[in-house]
Amino acid sequence: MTRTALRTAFLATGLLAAGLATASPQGNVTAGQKKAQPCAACHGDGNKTLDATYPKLAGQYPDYLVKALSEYRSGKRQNAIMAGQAKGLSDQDIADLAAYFGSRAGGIHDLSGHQR
Amino acid sequence: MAHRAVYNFALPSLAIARPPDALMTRCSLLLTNILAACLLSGLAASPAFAKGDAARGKTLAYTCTGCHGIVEYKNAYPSYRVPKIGGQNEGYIVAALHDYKRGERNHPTMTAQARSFSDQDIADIAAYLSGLKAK
Repeated sequence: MTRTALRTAFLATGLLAAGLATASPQGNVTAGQKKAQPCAACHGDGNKTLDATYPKLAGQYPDYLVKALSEYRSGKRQNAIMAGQAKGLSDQDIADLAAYFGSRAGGIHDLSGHQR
Repeated sequence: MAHRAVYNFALPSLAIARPPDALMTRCSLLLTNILAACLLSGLAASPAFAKGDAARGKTLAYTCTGCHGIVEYKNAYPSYRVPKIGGQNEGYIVAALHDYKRGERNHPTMTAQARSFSDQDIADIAAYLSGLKAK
């Protein structure tokens, strides 16, 4: 009984450590702002974009932005422009950019209150 | 049928009863309507930009609120918050849904949703979501 419990605890600690090791780095807003200059060509200030086909990024959830950029980089999400942009980004770059855009006040919002 | 007959009968009598300037306004209004209809049908005919009907989009977008309507709602695995889509750009929402439909973006739920929508549905949803203000 005790042995099984110990083994489970050991396993859980191992899994937790593995999870932490693969977690994305902490984003830095100031660093992200500097890295975001190329983004402005299309995404503007994050609210006013160059064209309606480019998404507004200001105020978006940073973890969603991390996922989006990571998928552009890996090719899971296909977009000619964004593939080129994301190709050279490190995990830290992605975290910083996501933190920066997520921290900006934005006009986008979830649909709470719009259920009917 | 009976209603229609009454309507047809009532129209000319109304026109006669009105002063001439009102008649002119009616004619120019009619012309404007015809012009607008021509313009709109021209827009609708171009496949890339089906004109969105926000009112219809509202009905279609009810399903979206199941995930996108919950504050900080998280996708299970990988874990991240589902994006804010209210007030997002119209053209981007159209592109995103078409990308899911074509498989250029992959997410089991979103792919299934996008595949169930016609081009017109997508345009309508985008028109509705892009026009939303935060509540």
